[in-house]
Amino acid sequence: MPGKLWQSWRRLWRLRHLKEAYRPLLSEDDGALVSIDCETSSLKVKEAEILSIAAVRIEGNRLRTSDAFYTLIKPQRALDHENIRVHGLRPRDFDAGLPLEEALEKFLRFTGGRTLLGYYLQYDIAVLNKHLKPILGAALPNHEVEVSGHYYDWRFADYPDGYIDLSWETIIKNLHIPALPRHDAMNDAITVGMMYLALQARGHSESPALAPVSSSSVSDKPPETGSALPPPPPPPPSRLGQGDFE
Amino acid sequence: MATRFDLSHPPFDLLTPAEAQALSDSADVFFFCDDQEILQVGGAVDSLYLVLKGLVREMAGEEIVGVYGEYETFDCRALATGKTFHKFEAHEEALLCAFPRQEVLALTDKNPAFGAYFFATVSDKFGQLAQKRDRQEWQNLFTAKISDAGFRPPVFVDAVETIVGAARLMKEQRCRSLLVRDGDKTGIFTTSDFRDIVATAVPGDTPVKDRAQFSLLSCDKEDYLFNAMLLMTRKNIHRIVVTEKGAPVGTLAQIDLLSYFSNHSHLISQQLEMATNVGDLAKVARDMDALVESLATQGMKMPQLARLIQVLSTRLMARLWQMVAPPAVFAGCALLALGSEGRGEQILKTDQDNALIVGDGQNEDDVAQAADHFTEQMLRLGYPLCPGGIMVSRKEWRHTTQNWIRVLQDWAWQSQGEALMNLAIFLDAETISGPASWLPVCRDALRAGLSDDATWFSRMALPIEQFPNQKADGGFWWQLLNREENVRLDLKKAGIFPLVHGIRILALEMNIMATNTFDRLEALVSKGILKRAPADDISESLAFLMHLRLNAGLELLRGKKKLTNEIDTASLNMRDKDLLKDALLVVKRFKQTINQRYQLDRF
Repeated sequence: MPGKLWQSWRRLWRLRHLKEAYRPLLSEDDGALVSIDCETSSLKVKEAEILSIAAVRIEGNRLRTSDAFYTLIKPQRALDHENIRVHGLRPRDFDAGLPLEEALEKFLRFTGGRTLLGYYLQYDIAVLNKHLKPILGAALPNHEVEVSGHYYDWRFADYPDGYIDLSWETIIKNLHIPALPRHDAMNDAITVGMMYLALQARGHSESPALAPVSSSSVSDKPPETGSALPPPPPPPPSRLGQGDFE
Repeated sequence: MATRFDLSHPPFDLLTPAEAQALSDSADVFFFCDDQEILQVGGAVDSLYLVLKGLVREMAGEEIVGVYGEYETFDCRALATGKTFHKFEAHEEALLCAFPRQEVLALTDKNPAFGAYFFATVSDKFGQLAQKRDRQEWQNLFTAKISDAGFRPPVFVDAVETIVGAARLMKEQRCRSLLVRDGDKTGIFTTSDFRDIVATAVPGDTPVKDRAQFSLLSCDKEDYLFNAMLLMTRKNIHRIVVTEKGAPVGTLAQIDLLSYFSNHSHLISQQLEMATNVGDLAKVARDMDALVESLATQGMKMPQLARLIQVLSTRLMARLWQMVAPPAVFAGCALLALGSEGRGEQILKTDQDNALIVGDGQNEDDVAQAADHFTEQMLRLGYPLCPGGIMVSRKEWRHTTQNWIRVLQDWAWQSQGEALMNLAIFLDAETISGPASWLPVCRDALRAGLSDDATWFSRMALPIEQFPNQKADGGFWWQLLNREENVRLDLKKAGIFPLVHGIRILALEMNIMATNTFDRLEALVSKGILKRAPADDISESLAFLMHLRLNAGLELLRGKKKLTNEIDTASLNMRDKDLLKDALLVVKRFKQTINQRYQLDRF
């Protein structure tokens, strides 16, 4: 995950390149975080179609599940069976789905310019940007927070020499949060939110803007702090296959 | 679709799927660090919290008064008032689900069962038990059939019979109504008709059909009892005719209705009298279990329930003894129930504790054979063997009066170990069958042989200290807070035994003959040994511990498991946890009292 300074610069740059219509919306930031998750039809960004998007706001120690965002998106192509097995969404389940553009529009209105939070967020952002760039004129300008990065920092403080397992199940276990059924975008977004609340309580949260923030999220080497330059992208997490990012 | 948050635990399991879905959708999630305050004393409360993970403690000042773990809900009291009287803090990082108070309140209006959960908790602790009983009785009333109530078989009389003949028949059959057959018509003739007969001086040879009522009010035997009750109330009559496919098969009197709804015990005692073999008795024994279950869920108080069961099981054992013992043995021996059965505090059949006082001149082999047979058949009735072997089948528990006196004095002299516990158990004996005067003779002789040696009573009282306080000692909440695995509490060790034994020794010292603990307590109060208030506390605490043990026992029986004295404290609801804590404090105070009185510290 890029460092905060880099992100701030990127945010300004992208905001400038946004189409006029979206600039006010994506400039808005009330300081809340938004935990997001997308279910997609593939793990390769180029092929992936977004099937559902979920987003839930975090305000202080509160996860606003009562006012969360969730939508199904009508797929453009037929889904393969392997995929249906993973996310459990059958073709008929998409009857209530929105067309992609409409869903993205609503998503943007929910998140505004707030900081986005996720687990291996870069993938979600990459898939979203693939569709959003033509609409917005630029990629999402939002700050990004990788929950596994904060988890890494927390574990690293206690086990500087150990291998730090960043798998979803391990994080849930070590943070003592309840395991919701997986592969449902809303549940995953809520789980990420709970992970963040638990880490925040342990002193590993987003510090005020521009403060140096650790960046390494995946490898077990010591995190780089205060880096003004974008660090190399993290090695592809297991979930991502070839890791073809933007 | 299942709800986002797990709402399958009480009270949310009372919601319909749609209600649960809506409530789940209205919830936010909160996270609190160790020791972080969640609700402050007197603060406004706008949510009902469900613990998803972690532990929350409820504090009154510095004292912990409640602990909430996963799937538990707080603060139910604040739901009604909108503010809390205690402080709630995260004990261990707590992830909470917060339901808006207004949403929950709206559901309590819409869903009465869900509402009852909260508002019953708010109401007085014991008042709630009474409410629960009312609900249960109303349920019975609406679901019970006339055939469940055990209506009386009809006694028919011919229409031409005289009223004097009818009166004789009623006396003979011990019934208060007759069905009068007149061709294909049926009438009813009841004792209340005699009032008019006497008042208007009707001659005794008048045919009964002239005075009988032929416009019968009847209900089918498969009809609801409730309808029978309505009919009686509406027509202001005391009995109706029960029909099956239109033909009269019996009568149902108001008194039958009443006793059905108070309890079914009269049916069981009737069956006991009519039983002719052990098989019949085994059926009665099973019915008794069902009776216990039904009375316990109806919220009958423990001392009363225990005594009712004592009456029935005493008769059950007496009937069994009568069946298995030759007449000479039956008449010439006194069968005793010992321990909890003797005190009238055994509700479920935990084990058989019994003994025999053998009359002089009995044939020993006959007695031994009958006693063996008795123990064996008791097992068939569902009374497990006594692990300590305190059963008539063992000759150590069969003596003549003279020998018993010697044995008792020997135990008293040893006053430790097994002898001490044997003596304690014998102090609770009650005569079930046979000459009732022998047991008091044994007891008086024992009492007379005791010196008023303070050391002796101290040694007798010592076993109340044999189970140290570790688990019971106020650390109960801490144990929960420390998340000790499987917080099991042995109710007998933690509370029932210390109370029962302490009171037993006090009663022995004061020469109180009662065997029931509640009776002994009363006697101790009237002798000025215990004050009224602490005695009431002890009696309520004992009753509550018995109630917990009974509920746990019934649960074990439903699962076809062996009875134990342990309960899983995790399975208790908040109210019971509260009461349990109170009860354990009473036990602790009582142990201190006994400790001081008998100076147990010196051992």
